[in-house]
Amino acid sequence: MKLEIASYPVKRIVLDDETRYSDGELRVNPEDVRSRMADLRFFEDISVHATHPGDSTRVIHIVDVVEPRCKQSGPGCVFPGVLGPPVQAGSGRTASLEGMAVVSASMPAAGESQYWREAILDMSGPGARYSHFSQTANLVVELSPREPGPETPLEDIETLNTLRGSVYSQRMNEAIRRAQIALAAHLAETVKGFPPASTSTYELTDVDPSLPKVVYTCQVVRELLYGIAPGWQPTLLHPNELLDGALFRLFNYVASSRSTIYDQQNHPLVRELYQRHGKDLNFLGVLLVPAGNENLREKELAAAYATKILRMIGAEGIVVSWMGGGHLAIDPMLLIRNCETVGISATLLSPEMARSHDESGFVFFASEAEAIVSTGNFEEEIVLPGVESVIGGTSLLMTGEDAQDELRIRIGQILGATQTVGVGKLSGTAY
Amino acid sequence: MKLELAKFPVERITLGNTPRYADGELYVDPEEVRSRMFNEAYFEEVRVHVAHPGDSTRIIHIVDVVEPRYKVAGSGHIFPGVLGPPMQVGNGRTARMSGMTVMTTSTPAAGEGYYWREAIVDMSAPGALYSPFSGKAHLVLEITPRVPGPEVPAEDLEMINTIRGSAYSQRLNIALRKAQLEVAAYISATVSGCDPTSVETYALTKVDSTLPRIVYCCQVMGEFVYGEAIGWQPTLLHPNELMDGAIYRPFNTPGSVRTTIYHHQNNPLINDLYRRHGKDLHFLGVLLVPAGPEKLTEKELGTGYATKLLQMLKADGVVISWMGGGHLAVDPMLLIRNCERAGISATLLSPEMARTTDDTGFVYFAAEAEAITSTGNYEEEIVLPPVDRVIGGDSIFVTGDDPSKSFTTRVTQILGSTQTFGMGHLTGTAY
Repeated sequence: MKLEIASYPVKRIVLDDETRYSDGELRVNPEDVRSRMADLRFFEDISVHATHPGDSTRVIHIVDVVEPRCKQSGPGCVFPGVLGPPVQAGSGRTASLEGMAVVSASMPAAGESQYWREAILDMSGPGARYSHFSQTANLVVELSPREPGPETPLEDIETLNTLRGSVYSQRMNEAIRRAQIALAAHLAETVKGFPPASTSTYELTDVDPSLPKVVYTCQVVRELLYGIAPGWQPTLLHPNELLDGALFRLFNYVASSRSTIYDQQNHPLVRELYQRHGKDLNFLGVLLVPAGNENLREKELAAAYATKILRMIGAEGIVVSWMGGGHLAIDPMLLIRNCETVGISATLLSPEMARSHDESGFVFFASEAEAIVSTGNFEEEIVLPGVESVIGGTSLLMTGEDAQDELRIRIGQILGATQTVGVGKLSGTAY
Repeated sequence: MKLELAKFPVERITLGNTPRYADGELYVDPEEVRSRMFNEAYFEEVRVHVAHPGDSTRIIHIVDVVEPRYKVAGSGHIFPGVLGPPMQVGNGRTARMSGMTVMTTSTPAAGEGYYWREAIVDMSAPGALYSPFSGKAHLVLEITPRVPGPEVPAEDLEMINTIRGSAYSQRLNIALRKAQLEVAAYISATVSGCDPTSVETYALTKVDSTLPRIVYCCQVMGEFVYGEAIGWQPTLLHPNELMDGAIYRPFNTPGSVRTTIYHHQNNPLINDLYRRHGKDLHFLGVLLVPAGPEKLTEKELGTGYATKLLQMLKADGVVISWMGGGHLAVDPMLLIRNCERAGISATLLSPEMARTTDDTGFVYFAAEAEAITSTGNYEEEIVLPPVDRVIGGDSIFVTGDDPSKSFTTRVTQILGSTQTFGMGHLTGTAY
C-alpha cells in the first residue's frame, strides 16, 4: 500500500466572493461554506471567519479540526464511509492544503455536558505556545445550534453520561463533523490543475529483517472506522488508512487531550515511525485498541487480545497513545504490563494530571511502565492575556467569563495542548 | 503460545452411579448431569441418553456438539468468557476426551425458525456415511424448552429473521450452550489423575522464512469470541485459542453446514496447516472474517479490510472456509477476487447447492476463484432406513416425517455432512 500526499501550501485564507486556490492563498466564499454546512435540523445560523498566526484572536467552543484533503488518484475517497462508500483507503494520491485547517466551533447541544467541552485556541501571545493550531491558517465555521423542537423526544435530550452527552447531542456532533469533512474536501478540490509544492510517499517497504519490529498501539473509544463503529476486538490498521481519514471520533473530549481529525491526518507518531522505518526500526503498522468499558473484565480481555496480536506479528516494541482521563488510564497500563511480561518493550505517551506537586499525575500505574514520555500536565493553571477579537462565542462555558478578557484557566482547556499523539509542545521532566 | 493437547480416548459411555473414566470407558451419573445443567428459566425437562457407533439409532433436532475438555495447566479456563473470565487461552495443557461428544437436542424456542433447524445424525449405515459425528460416542442431552411465560415481552418472541430467530430464542440458545459446556467441563474432570494415551504439541514455531506464508480465513457470523459478540472488523486469532474454546456461535444454521463447537475445537484445516508448518508452508494464524450483513458495501468493506490485513501479514496464500447459505456466498468470492488481484493465492472449501445437474451449485462466483474443494452437494436427496431407536423427538421438522421409519430427506439435514472445515466425508469431482 503506497500513498502519496501532495502538498499545496496555504499561508493565507481570504474571505471573498468566490472559492479558489492560488499560490499559497485560499479564497473562500462564505456563502459557499454556509450552503454546505447548513443543516437546518440542527443549526440556526452559521458564520465564517478566517484567522492567522499572530492575530490577536481567541477561538472558543471548538469542536473539531480538519485539514482539507481530497483524493487525486487511487480507490475511494478521503473519509471513506462518510464522504463515499467504505472503500479501502491509504493508496494512490491524496492532495492536502498544508498549513491550514477548517475549525468548527459551536455551543454544546441539548444534553451535552459543558464540563469537558470548552476548547480554546489563542492565535498569538503566551497561549499560542500551547497549541499547534496557532501555527495554521484557520477557517473557522461558527455554528449556532437550534433548540430542539417538539419533534425531538424528551429522552433524546437527556444526558447519558458526561462524556457522551445525549442521543441528540451525538447526532448534532456527527452532523457537524460530516459537514466539516465535506467542506474540507470541497476546499481541497480547488487545487485541481495546480502542481503540488512537494510530495511525500508513505509505504511500508520491505526492510532489513534484523531491525526491531515496532507497532504503534492507539487507544480508541467509540471512534468510527470507515464510518462504522468497530467492535471490542483490537485490530490492525495500515498507517496510511489513518492518513486518509479512515478513523474519527464523534464526540468531544477534554480539549487538551482531544484527538482531532487533523491530528489523525497528520499523525506525528506515524510520521516519525515512517521516517525511521528501514533506518533504526521496522514499522509494522498501527494496532487500534478499543478501550474496555468501566469493568476490569473488558479491559483485561482487550489488553490480552492486543498482546496476542502483537506476538503473532512478531512485534518487539510498541509506542502507546491514549485518550487521557479516568478509567481509560487503566487499559494502557494493562497493555504495557502484558507486553513487558512477554518481552515486548513499551513506551507510553501520557499527559500528567497533577494539581499539586505531591500528586503522582497518574490514575493507575503498572510497575512495568518504565518508559513514559510526558505530554504535559493538564491540571496546570496558566494566565491568558486579553485579546482583540473572539470567535466562536462570547463567554467561556462553565465559568461564564468574558472570553475577550484576561483568563486564568487550566491547560486542560487548550485544544491539543497535551494530546498523546505527540503533537503538542509540552512535556515534563523528572527531578 | 504453546498448547499441549493430552488425549484421553473414550470408546464407550455408560450411564451409572459413580462418575469415572478408565480404559476408554466413561461412566456418567445422569442425575448429576441433569442437576448441573438444569436451567429453570429456560428448560422444562432434560433427559440424558447415550449413543454409540453402529447402534440402530437416529438422533434428531440436534443443536450443538462439543468435545469434553479441561485446562490442566496454563492461563484461563476452557471456554473463556462462558465458563470463566475471558482470560487469554491457548497456552499450557488441555485434556481432551477424544472419540466422544456431549450433544444437545431441542425443539426450536419460541420465535426460532424451523426451516433450517433440523439436524440429524444416524449412528448406523447408510445414514452414518454422511456425518462425521456418526463415528463418535455421544452423551445426548435432550432438552425440552419451557414455554415462555407472561414475564417475556411479546416483542422478544417475534422472529427477527429465519437464521437468528427471536430475541428469546437467542437467549435460550445461549443458555443451552452454556449448560452443555458446563456438562462437558464436568465430565472431562473424570480424567484427572489418569494418564493420556498421547500428547500433541501445538506452537507456531519459527520456521524457514522462504516457505510460503499461509493464513486460514474463517468466515463467521454472530460468533462470540471470549464470550462477547465481536464487531465487523476482521480479526486475527491464534489457532490454539480455537482449540481451547474461545469461539462459538449462539444460533443454528442448516444442519449440514452448521459449525458446531466441536468443529472449532477440532478444525481439520488447522490441524493440517499445523502438520505442514515448517515442512512446505509457514502457518501464520487464523483470520476471522465476519460476514457483512446483507449490503454489498459492508461485504466490500469486510473483505477489503481482510485483504489489507493479509497484505500486512505478507501472506502468500489463504485457505477459506465459509458458512454456506445465500448472501453469505458473496463474501468469500469477493475475498478471493481481492486476494488473487493482490497476488495472494486463495483456496476455497465450499458445499455445492445444486438441485439439478444443470445448476452450477454456486450462488455467486468470481472468475478469480480457481481452486475450490467441494465438500458435497447439500441439495442431494437421500433415503434413510428405519431405525430401532430415535433420540431428540418424534417427528422431523417441516415435513413431519416419522423419524423411526424410512423417509426421504436432503443432505442438508445431516449434521456436519457438508461443513467447510473439511471434517466431512463428501466431495465432488469435475467431469
